[in-house]
Amino acid sequence: MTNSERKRIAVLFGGRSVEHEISIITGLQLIEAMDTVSLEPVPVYITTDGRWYTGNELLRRDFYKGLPGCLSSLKEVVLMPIPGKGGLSVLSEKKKGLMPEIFGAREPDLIPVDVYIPAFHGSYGEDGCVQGLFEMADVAYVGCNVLSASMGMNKYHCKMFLKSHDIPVLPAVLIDKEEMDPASGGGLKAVKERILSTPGLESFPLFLKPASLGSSIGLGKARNDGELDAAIIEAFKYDSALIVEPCLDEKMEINISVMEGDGPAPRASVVEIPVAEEGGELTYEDKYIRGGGKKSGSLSQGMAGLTRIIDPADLDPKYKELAREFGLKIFKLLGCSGTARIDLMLDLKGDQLYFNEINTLPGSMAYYLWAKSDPVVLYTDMISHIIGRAELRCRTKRALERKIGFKALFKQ
Amino acid sequence: MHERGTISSLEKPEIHTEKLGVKEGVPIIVMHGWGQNLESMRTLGELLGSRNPVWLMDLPGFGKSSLPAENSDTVSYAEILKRFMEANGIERAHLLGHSFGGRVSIRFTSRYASMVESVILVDSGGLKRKQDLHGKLRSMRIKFISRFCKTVDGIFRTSLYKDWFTPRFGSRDYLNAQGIMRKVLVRAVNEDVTEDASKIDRPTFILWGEKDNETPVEMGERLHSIIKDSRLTVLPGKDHFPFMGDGAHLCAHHILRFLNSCSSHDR
Ligand SMILES: Nc1ncnc2c1ncn2[C@@H]1O[C@H](COP(=O)(O)OP(=O)(O)O)[C@@H](O)[C@H]1O
Ligand SMILES: [Mg+2]
Repeated sequence: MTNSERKRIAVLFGGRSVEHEISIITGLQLIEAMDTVSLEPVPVYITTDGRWYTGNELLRRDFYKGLPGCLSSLKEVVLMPIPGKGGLSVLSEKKKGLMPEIFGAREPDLIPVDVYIPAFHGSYGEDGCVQGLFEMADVAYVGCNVLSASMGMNKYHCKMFLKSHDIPVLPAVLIDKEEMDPASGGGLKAVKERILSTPGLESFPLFLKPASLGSSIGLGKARNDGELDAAIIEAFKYDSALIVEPCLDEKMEINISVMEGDGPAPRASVVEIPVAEEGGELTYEDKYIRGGGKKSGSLSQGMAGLTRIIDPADLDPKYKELAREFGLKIFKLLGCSGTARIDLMLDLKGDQLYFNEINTLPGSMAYYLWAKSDPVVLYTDMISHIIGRAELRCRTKRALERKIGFKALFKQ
Repeated sequence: MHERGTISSLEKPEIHTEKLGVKEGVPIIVMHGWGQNLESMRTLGELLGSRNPVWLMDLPGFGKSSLPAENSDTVSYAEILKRFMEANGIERAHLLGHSFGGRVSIRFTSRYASMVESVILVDSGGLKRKQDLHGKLRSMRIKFISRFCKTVDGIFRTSLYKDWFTPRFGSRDYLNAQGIMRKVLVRAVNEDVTEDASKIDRPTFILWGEKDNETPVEMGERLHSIIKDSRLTVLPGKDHFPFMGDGAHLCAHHILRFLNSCSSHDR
């Protein structure tokens, strides 16, 4: 196959999110595993300021050590919300030679792209924002649409929606940062009162988390009033809304990945039990630094490097089956596409499995779970599959009737 | 230069292997490249283990295997592989060789075809590099300096060759190799397995990184034209180690496709 026949796949990573760095790892892993015989990766790095750049230098991990100066060696690009354009428009042009126009060396102002893969985590990338841009531009893109992405991102709304479909969830309350404002009659005291008067949250310990973040950032456990103050302030550092739940002291986390299938029925992977270094909550270090560091001594492998037990032999099969059942049901209920990871928590005291959160763009795309599933799904094959599905969805959508003509405007 | 190994291990090197994957089927014996050990092939081996049993092998002189005999060449390695297969009751196997391991696979298959189900060569060694004019001039110059150093050393009892020439012009592999492994390396890089490769009549899959600087893709193309029943897949953007990191999934994808296409009875 010659290069011109390869499909061009823009892999977008980085982004305006606290999970920026993890997204770089996910993006580069994805490109490394992609079947470059049939697909041509176009790496697109989005800076923490939200500017888009492309260039093959982005494929080297050590390139990012030179930020932000090294950006000047890249091309700045943007996806215009104009249907029919398809590719990335070049904003800056790297001049080749003194008079590029005369020598015909002018770079094209549009980089063609067949399919977009958002490899972001968190804000602006996993939450429906960039998906909205893809929709406006009418391009094929991998994974969730606007609604399922944004539902998946908000821990509170997601829980309430799933609860209404009989998925067990912990009681929770959503607090907006505005409620902390004394000018409008709020404040820490009022917020605490509202929390402690919510059914199911009357007693400590409580667990607090930013409503739309991930990667264990801004989490807090409150065993008493003083800790509650601190946890509220911590969570509001990162998000404008937080959620409070009862804290499960004796719990086991069970994660499962679900991927869209060839038809309407999705498929589920084996489960994993992530292991925190010191017991208790998983921290950012557990997820991204410790596991990877241990394994390779150098390159962090993101979620693929976490210390975890995949398909634990001694986990009661009844929980594996229940996780599968929940996973498949939740993926469908939220209308997800691509690959998601669904995190469940087993309350060991009450022997109850709860939905905790969904990651619609999970770290490392959860490929490490599929590599151990039966049948094994290679990351390479997963990528080709979700790209194929993205193209199919785009074609189906383009075939929809949208123009019904002007009738109302000119009615006499 | 320090030598390790005992007389007994020189005669019968102890081979360290690890067996992975499913229990039933024709096994895949995986042989790593020069200066590596079985760890470099582990992820790929694990992924292939979903279809066939996999033996990851530390080649003699690497990893946890003992040294080969003093004057070993890649043919000796093929003989060791034969003894290993016999000792472990492996009648027939798929051979997967990277770089140096590819040389051994070619040597073996041309001699013991009946013990080979198929051959998978990943960025394999075995062919001499085709040099452009610039490369030819450079190697002529290096050969001249080498001869000059040796002559001076002979006359004046100096050690110019060892102390000055080798650190400057020896390859990374050469510099890292110790004792008898240096001799094995020199033999290996100076041999050409074209004749052996032309005798291979087993289904062969040649997988190559497009950006391989150590064994350029041109060598893969030549192997493809020499080996009758062979298929070549070039991986754009990949170097001499296309199976490193998550590239293991990509290599496994192409290797499994090859295995599925060439035999349905080998599981
Ligand atoms: N209600 C809770 N009780 C106890 N621990 C919790 C609770 N909710 C979350 N955790 C812990 O915090 C971690 C992160 O919470 P999670 O909701 O998954 O947020 P994130 O998006 O940051 O991963 C979980 O993996 C779990 O260890
Ligand atoms: Mg989580």
